[in-house]
Amino acid sequence: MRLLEVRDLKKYFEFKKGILSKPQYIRAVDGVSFSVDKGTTLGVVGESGSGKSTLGLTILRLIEPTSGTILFNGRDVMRLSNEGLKWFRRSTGIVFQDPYSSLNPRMRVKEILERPLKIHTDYDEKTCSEVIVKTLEEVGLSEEHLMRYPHELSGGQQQRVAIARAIILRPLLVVLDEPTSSLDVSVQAQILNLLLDLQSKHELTYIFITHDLLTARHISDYIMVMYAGKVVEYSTTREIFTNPKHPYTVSLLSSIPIPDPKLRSRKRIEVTGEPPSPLNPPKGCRFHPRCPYAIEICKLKEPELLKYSKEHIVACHRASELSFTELLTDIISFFT
Amino acid sequence: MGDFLAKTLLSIRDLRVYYETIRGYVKAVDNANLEIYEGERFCLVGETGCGKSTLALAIPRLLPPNARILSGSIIFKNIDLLKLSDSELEEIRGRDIAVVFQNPMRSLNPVLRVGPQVAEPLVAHFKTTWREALVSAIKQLSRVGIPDPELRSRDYPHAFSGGMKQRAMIAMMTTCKPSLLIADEPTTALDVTIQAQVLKLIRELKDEYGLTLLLITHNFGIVAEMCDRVGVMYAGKLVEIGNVVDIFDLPLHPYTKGLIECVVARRKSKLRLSQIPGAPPSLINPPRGCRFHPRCLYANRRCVSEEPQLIEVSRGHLVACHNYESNR
Amino acid sequence: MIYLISEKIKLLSNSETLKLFLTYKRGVVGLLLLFLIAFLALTADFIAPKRFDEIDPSSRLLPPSIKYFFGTDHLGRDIFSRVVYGARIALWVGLLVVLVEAGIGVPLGLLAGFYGGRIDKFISAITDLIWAFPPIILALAIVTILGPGLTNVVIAVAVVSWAPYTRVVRAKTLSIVSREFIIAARAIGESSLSIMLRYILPNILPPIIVLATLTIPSAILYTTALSFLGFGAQPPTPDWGLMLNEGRDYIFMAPWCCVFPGLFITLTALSFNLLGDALREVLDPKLRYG
Repeated sequence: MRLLEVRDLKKYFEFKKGILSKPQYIRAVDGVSFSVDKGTTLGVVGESGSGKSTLGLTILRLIEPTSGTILFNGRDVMRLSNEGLKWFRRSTGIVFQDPYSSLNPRMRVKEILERPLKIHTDYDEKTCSEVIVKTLEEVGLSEEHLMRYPHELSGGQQQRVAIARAIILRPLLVVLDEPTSSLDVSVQAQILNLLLDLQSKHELTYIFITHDLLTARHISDYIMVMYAGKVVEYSTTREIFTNPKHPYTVSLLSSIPIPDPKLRSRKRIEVTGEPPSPLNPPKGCRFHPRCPYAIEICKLKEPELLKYSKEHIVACHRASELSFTELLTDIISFFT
Repeated sequence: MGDFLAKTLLSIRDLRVYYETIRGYVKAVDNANLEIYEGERFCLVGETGCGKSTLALAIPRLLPPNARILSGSIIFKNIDLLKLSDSELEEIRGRDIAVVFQNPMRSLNPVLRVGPQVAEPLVAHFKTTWREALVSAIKQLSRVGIPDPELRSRDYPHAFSGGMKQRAMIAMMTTCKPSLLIADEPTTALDVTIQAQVLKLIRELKDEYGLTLLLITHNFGIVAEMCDRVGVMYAGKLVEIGNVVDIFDLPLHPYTKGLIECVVARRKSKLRLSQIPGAPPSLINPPRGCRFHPRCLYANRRCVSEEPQLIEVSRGHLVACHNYESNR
Repeated sequence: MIYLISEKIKLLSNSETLKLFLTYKRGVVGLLLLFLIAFLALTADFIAPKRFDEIDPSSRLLPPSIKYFFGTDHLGRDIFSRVVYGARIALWVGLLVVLVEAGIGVPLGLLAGFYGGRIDKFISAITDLIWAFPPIILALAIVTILGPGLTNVVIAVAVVSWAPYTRVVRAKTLSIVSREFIIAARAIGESSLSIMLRYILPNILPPIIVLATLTIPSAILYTTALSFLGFGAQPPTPDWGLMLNEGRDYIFMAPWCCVFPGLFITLTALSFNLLGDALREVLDPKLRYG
């Protein structure tokens, strides 16, 4: 059942160098379309400048989109009435990368979790308390944390509070923007397990934004790779890791440091250069200046997102002729 | 590698570094003993607050003002660095020991152009003329992969992207061809594709200049890619040291084992990751006995009362755990 | 309002803050001075040997003595008693002015910082305009329109001095408004008003408190100035500024008529200054966890 459908979403930020100069646009999200089914996780993967974080905020209308359509549970998010918007807020949640700055330093945990209840429900004090304590226990905290301030909690605990806040009203969709990147390795594993448990328990749908393909692999059913504001590849997690078709995806896979010393001299695709400036992306395919496989047409014409196979779409002129499985045999074997 | 005929370049003995804070002494590094051999690539790995940065930055004495080196010795090329005066140490810094940080702006002055900054160590240590030094600097910038180096040498740091700043800092730090390069989380702030480029650059420079690399990281992938030998730190202590293949295939310390299993890639998708319960301890009042015991699945009475020492269990593999045998 | 005060008390009862504050000798001195003056104000009824308006023509212009600590004025009134009752007025007026100033300035700053755009431009323009005027002249103008009296003086002074509050609050709001916990607040459905009151305001309180403490002295000075000029308190109110005015004619024969009110004006202003200075250092970096 399709929970979220996004069509040609664009978010441009205006950038004025001076009062008299022409306004320039940062094309943070430049025509992104995808859908997410209920109960699944979509991993959105990209590096800086890919637009993945902006995408997350725009889908939830925490940043107003420049253009495009967002359908949530069948309703047009851009045309919601005030009541509709309230319902939308209640049915969605967000978790940020830095747990400390996502919590109000002047509110105790109890208050932080009370606010959603006070805004959207008419629970009395007693019910509020019960719901709050229950949710705290679900995320691995307890009553003793109720009266603490954020700065009195560890990073992992803070993130648990942020997660509790996001799910306390049993939303349908949760957007998670690099929720584990700021945490220590041992805590990351705990939080990821928690997210998986909560998902199966409450049938949550996740949009999991990250730059770390390995984390994305662990939690996602589908992965969408973004580059310079556009989607370059989308498929099931398994397919992305066993048969990636876009050179950028392959370079991402190639660049991940693999925790196995025996694979250190594996074959890799080497990518030079840096992600492009969002003010002035290259003409044609945005990846072409860095792509070892670029040909003439890549410099001139932007590739369309085309269906490569069932549940696998790629935006590359050479998708049908290039195959990377040979190059990636070592990595693929590591993952299976 | 595990080449025990290799010369020792750096020998750290009984090092204790504490930080003075309002709340008490933070025992950041407690009795560290470590040998680094010439020409090797050594990784110091651990989570936040384990003391790895403190240990590494104690070597060139680049610690914050509230750090106190309470005891120990750091012998580098037969000199105890801890006994040197500040000015003597300044001569060694940049020339024999170079440091690359996570944040390149720790080394790059935002109000000076990049070229002169990269040239400066040559002038300071080898008394070359500025003109010669600038020529070398431009060559070095080219060597680290900065396009149009002559043009770019006249830019200010803010005109460089993150990855380029990092390369410029590496250029600056390697112009004097130091014997030891300390890299403290050099790629943590970089995108994954840029990270791969910078790590490759560090590997190449290491081979080209024959320098010894001490790399600090919390990422086991980087450890696997970059290093010959590994030291694992937890709560201010070195808990395991060994060559990289042993550490990954046969980790002896429960913490090392836990960490390696935590690292996401190892599991198939969507199965529960193994996790280490609890959180790292306070370093003001660390647990008695083995500092890991509150989180350790194998802890027994001895672990609570007696602190385990680092013992060599097999060639080149040291571990500080009372129960390492049962972990085999 | 009560929320603000209780927040302040919460901040101060945090023992670490208190401990740190006690290391600032200036602040402690200022606080003690303030306590002294407040004590005088509160216990005026018990301490003052005479009523502040008790005229005694036979005791005119007597120098300080055991009977009359600070001497008497031209109407034979005990200056000590008048000074002590005057403390009440001074503190009360100072506080009131600050409350009105903050009451105007803080909401304007919040709105400007939170909404930005045209609202910000409009509010900032007005703020700059007001700030550009020499305050005394503007205050005089207002008081001339409204007529004399202490209440009108309070209004006049408050109306000319709310600009710093708006400036500070706007700047602080701008620095917070793009932080993630504000976005998170919107994501759970908080209204704009709620965000301003529950999320932004509590996080920008320290600079507001410091500003308030530091503007009380100028408020007192302005009001006493206006009273001195005859626009504020009317006789027989024991307002210190008015006492200065009344003692003006006798300054050579009976300097104590001016010296003691003047001294207390200075001490009060000083105490707030010292306190505010220390508070600024104690509250600001420590509690700025973000």
